[in-house]
Amino acid sequence: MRISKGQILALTLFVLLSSLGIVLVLLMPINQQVIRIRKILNTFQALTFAESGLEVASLYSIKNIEIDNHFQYTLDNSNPTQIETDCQSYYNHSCNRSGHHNICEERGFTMSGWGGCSKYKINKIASQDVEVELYSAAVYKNFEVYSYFVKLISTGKYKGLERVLDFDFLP
Amino acid sequence: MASGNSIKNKKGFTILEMSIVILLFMFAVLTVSTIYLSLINASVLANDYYQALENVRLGTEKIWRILKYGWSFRVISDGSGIIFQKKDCTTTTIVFSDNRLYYREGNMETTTVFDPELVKVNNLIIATDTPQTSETYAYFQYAPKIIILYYDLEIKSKKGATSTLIFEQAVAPLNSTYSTNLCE
Repeated sequence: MRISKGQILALTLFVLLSSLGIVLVLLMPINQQVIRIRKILNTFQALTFAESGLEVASLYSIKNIEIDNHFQYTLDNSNPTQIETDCQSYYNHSCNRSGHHNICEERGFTMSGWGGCSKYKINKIASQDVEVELYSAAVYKNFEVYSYFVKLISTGKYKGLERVLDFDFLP
Repeated sequence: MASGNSIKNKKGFTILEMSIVILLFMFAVLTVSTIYLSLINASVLANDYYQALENVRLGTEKIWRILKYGWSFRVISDGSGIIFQKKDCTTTTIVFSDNRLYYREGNMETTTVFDPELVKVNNLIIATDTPQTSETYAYFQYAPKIIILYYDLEIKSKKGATSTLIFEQAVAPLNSTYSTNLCE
């Protein structure tokens, strides 16, 4: 059987290109690592925004329950705007966490209507792309305010990445 | 004689053909090695950035924790630093100077918050809220309720490449809701 030069050349090229392909495929994880670190950097930025939002929101939650009414947040564009909300979903989320049992009723709490429930949205804090939602609801026991439910959702955004910090403060 | 003719008649590779194959081979090796080297460099860069980011994370976490439980905050007039008392009432200073963020606690030696080999601090601005009262009877009346730190950082790799990190960190000191300053 005679092997022509063309066949040898084709075989050589095939081996070369295959090796090239294998090397590239094997190096792909390294390339992914580079993409990953870029994402980690962006996520870090988004997380710092969300954490800042959470700190400011926790402060507003304190203000909201009137421990201290002297505070005024003076940085730009930071005044919270109260927006109308359906507190029923918040109530369900906070009070029916254990499925069939109603934690609030089990502990002897009653909710006398939704006068004490409000949702705030703090828009941008300084120059950061962060949105904060703050929910608070009064919990009554024997017709007196016993405690407050507070829920904070802080969303930090950076280059299309979002990090959400969601906290419930229960009595 | 006949055997000599048969050798001559066998067709081998010419120098030109061999040269083309060697050139192709060299081209392929060069391409692969270039890609390989650039990916290795990128991997080293990613590793350096990751280390630097961890350093930033550690530093900011430390600052957050110390400020969170601190007392008697006083921002240096141009916002380049803050003087306060730590949880144990030790006077502590965080100040930005010469592209570094310095931390000093009591009479202890001054240290840097971030490793200068990994992180360059381009700027730091610290701001607090302004209490809306002149009364100073209770600590919560005049204590700052929130401290904002603006960081402009540059994380560095050993090969000289840099990447910018600009973010703000908010800290709401827990003790600012107390009536009495335990460090006074």
